[in-house]
Parts: sequence; C-alpha cells; structure tokens
Amino acid sequence: MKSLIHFTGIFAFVGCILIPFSWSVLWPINELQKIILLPITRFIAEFLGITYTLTDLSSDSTLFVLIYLLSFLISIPVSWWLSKRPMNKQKRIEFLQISLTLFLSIVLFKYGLDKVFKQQFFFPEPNTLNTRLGYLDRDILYWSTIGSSYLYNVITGSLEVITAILLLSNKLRRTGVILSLFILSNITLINFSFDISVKFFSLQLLITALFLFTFEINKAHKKSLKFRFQVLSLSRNSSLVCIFVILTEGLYPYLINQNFNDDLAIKPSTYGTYHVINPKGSIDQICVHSDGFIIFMDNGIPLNSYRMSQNIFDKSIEITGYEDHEHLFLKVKKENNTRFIFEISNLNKGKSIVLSTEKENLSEYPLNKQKVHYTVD
Amino acid sequence: MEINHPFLFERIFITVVKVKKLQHMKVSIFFFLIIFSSSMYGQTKMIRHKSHGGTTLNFFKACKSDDITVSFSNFGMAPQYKVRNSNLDSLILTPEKKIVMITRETCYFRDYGSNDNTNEELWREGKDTVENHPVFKSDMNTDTIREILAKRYFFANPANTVVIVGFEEGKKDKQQRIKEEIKTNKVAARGKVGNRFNLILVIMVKVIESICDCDVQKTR
Repeated sequence: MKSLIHFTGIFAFVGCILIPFSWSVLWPINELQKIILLPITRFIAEFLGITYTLTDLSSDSTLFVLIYLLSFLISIPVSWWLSKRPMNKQKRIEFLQISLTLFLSIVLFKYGLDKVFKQQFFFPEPNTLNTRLGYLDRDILYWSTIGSSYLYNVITGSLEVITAILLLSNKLRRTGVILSLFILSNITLINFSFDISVKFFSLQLLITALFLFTFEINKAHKKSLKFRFQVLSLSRNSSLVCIFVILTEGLYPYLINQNFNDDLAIKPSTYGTYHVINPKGSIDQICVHSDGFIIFMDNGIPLNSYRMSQNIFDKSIEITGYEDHEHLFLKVKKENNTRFIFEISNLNKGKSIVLSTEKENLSEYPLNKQKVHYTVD
Repeated sequence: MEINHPFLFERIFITVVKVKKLQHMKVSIFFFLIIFSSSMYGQTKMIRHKSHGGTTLNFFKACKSDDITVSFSNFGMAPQYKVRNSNLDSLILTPEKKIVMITRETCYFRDYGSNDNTNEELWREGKDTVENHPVFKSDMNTDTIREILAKRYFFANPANTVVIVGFEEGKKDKQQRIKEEIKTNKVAARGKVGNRFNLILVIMVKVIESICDCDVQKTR
C-alpha cells in the first residue's frame, strides 16, 4: 500500500513537470516542455501506430495523453530505484509533498482568479444565445449556464483562491487539502459527464490531491498559538519567493489587461444580434461575436461562421470562412439606432446581397437579468 | 480603463472571514463545500471553437487554420488579448512619388501561454513603401493628410504628432510651425539673457570678495 502511495506521488510529480500547462509569467517552462516533448511524443505515436491531428500538445489531444503514458513509464523505474534506497526516505517524501502542494496551490489560485474576474465562464455570446438548446453540445451549454451567473462565479472562484491560500499555510494545510479534494473531484466529475476536454489534467490534479490527503489522515494535528510567517515548512526566504511567484503568476494577466470583469469588457462596435427583416435565402439572423466573428443563423441553427478583419486603410470589413477560406466583403451601414444594413459582397463572383436588419436588445433577454427572487410572489 | 467592480475585493474579503470563522467547525465546512464545490477547468479549445458556432466536425479545420482564438485557448485559463499599439511616426513622399509609412510597434495577439506574439501581419513594425497609395496622393497637403489620418486610421498616436515630409505644407501646419518657431526663438533669447546675467553676477561676487577680502577659511 505504501509503495502504491509512493508511486502515485512520483507519477503526479513527473506529470507536473511534463504537462505543458498554460503559464503566464513562467512561460519559458512551457516552451522548454514543447521543445523536448513534441519529438518524443511524436516518436511514441508513430512507434505505436497511433494517428493524431493536433501537434501543439493541447489539452486532451492524442499527443497530450501520450505525455501521461510517458510519465507513467518514467515513474515505474524511478519509484523502483528509489524503493531500493531507504536512505533519506523521509526527506524525499517531504520534497514530493511540498512541491505537489505548491503546484496544486498555484493552479487553484490561477483558476480561482479566472473565475473571480469572470474570464473563464464568459457570458454566452449572441450566437449561443440564439441557437436552439437542442443544437448545443453539453460542454458549451454547461459553460453558458455557469457563465450567466456572476455571483456563482465570484463565490466559486474565491473558494478556489482561499483553498490555494490554505494549502500554503502550515497550520491549515489539512483543511486546504480536504477542500481541494472536494473541489477537484467535482471538477473531474463535471469534465467527464459534460464532455469538457480537460479530463486528463483534472484527473492528474485529483490524484495529486489524493496523494496529499493520505499524509493528512494520520498526521497528529499540532496546535501552536505562535504565528510564524512560513509557507509549508520552507524557510522564510523561500516562502517569500513562493508567494511572489504565485501572486505574479496569477495576477499578472489581469494587472496588464486591467480587465476585472469580462462581462463589462469593451466589445466590437457591431457586437450583437441582428434580426433580418427581408430574408434572402436561409439567413434570418446575423450574430457578431466579441472575438470578431460573424455568424449567419437560420431559425436558431448556426449556418456559417466567418472571421472578420478590418482593413486599416478604408475601414471595410473582410470576412473569411475557415472551412473553405471563402473571402467576402462586408459593409455595415447604420440607418438609426436599431436599423442596420449589411451588404455582403463576393468580389470574385461579382455578387452581393443587401440585408436590412433590426438590432435586438441583448440586455432585455431574460438570461441577462441578474435578479434574485427571494420570494416567488 | 477603470476597475469595473470596486466592491469585488470586499466581497472576497467577507468570504475569507466567513471561512476563517468556520474552520473550527469542520462539519460546517463540508456542507459549505458540497454546495459550493466549484468547477475548474477553464476555457478549452473546443469551447472557444463552439462559442462562435463551430462544431466537433470542423474543429480540426479551425485548429489548422490561423484561428487565433481557438489556438490560444487550452486548459481554460483566461484567453490572451489583442494588443493594438501601432504608432505612425512619419509619412514621407519620395521624389519618385512613392509614399513611405514608418510605423513603430506592432499589432498582435499576446499569448500568456508561450509569449508567442503571432499574427503580426495585422500590422508589422517598420517601413512600408507604397506605389499608387489608395488614400494618400502626392498632390495632397499636410492638413488634408492629418484629417484623413484622424478620421480613417486607427493609429495609437494623434494625427498631429505624425511627421510628414515631402508634401505641400497646409495652412494649419504653417501657423503651428510659425508659432513653434517664435516659441523657440523666445526661449533662445531668454537663455542668452540668462547667461549674461549669470556672468555679471559672478564678476560682481568676485569684485566684492576682493574688496572685502573675506576668505572663508580664515574666518573659521
């Protein structure tokens, strides 16, 4: 049993080192991992005869899963070799415990802040709002549901941040580990049941939390009233470094971006949903996404999605479909506050369509009302 | 840009205080957890793709194309943001009637994951020489050019800071130049007066010193 726990710890640790997590300040780690791991995982895939399409080691891609296979293969001989050497065993376990706690804390802190600042679960985009429910996949539906409540995001995010802080504290680590175990098991469950593509990474984090939990079960709870500035059982200087790294890693993107609530962030001027008054063909709605996409809808079903790019010279908009790389030109004329005219032209074929539209008021959608009804009557 | 929720940190603080009060009652914490155990995984590539009407069938095509929003989402962290900071330093008309635009800094998508500032083709830093420019013609004067820059372009710097060389000078620019010249002349004149005054002061001090014979060291 003990050797199994030891093996789990080593596997989780190797996983932490190898998995190319999206670091913000610590981005060189990412680059290094990609340089080393890409050829190795490609070789393994070709050796095993596995076909793959994505080559950027993104979450839950074939090559990404092969990294876990690689870390499993590495941790078997390492744990066997270490079990033969009982010298400094206690120190080794302590090192594993500290490094894995730090990793878990930093990850929870980052995700917690992402939620608190409403960057992770964004409010549904106009096209999602206007797609029929049955045509949405489970993952985007779940994302939109959670994204529609600001309060839930702030509370769940702050809970993750608190857990990250508790994990660092020497005195309250047990509470932190138990909290993270609950949080991560829920996440893993959601990821698998709603088909969200961070399944393997959430499993790794859950394994890490389980490994840390095994140490907290039997440990006698020391009570000391004296306050000491200490992260885990590290020295004062290394504690300071750890706190600095965690704070900068988590807060840097927000301090640079100055975006503390994504729902209120600046959107493109054409952002919104437009109802077509004179339908030509099957297009009856036009939606403009905040990332600069234009989506043509037919009765609640998305037809085509085009990326918009504005010409710096004459403000005309070029739209490109990523499926067939079709290039079209778009001109938007504003008649009054609600009436807009969309002129879409294909320069190669010399064709153009003019659609007069009416802009829908997204703030009047029932989903956009953040009211809490304390009583039903 | 301003911080949108000034009370956000207060809210977080209140939650922290609540949890600290609860830490002695472990059972309560567990109930608290079951209600609020959160969901963490972030914005994945697939979700970013589906958010703008993509499907699982065309996901691979979106990843292969230069779809920035998809390719920079991964574990569901906050996505990268677009940096628009192109400055037009100068606009030059060459004797061959070509137009040279010199820009500083680039327009790109900043990625937190790899710090890879890709998609620089939006606007690349450097020198662009354009023949038969669609907007700027050789017979334009500087005033009209500045008007066009202010109305039709998205450069970060204001149009009146762009250095325009080789074009005919407009009325406004001429007035501005004359004003500046007068200013600089005044400053230069003041500088000369100041220098003379300083010189007179030094001579006077020397004279007084020699008359009074007040050696500082001796008096001490």
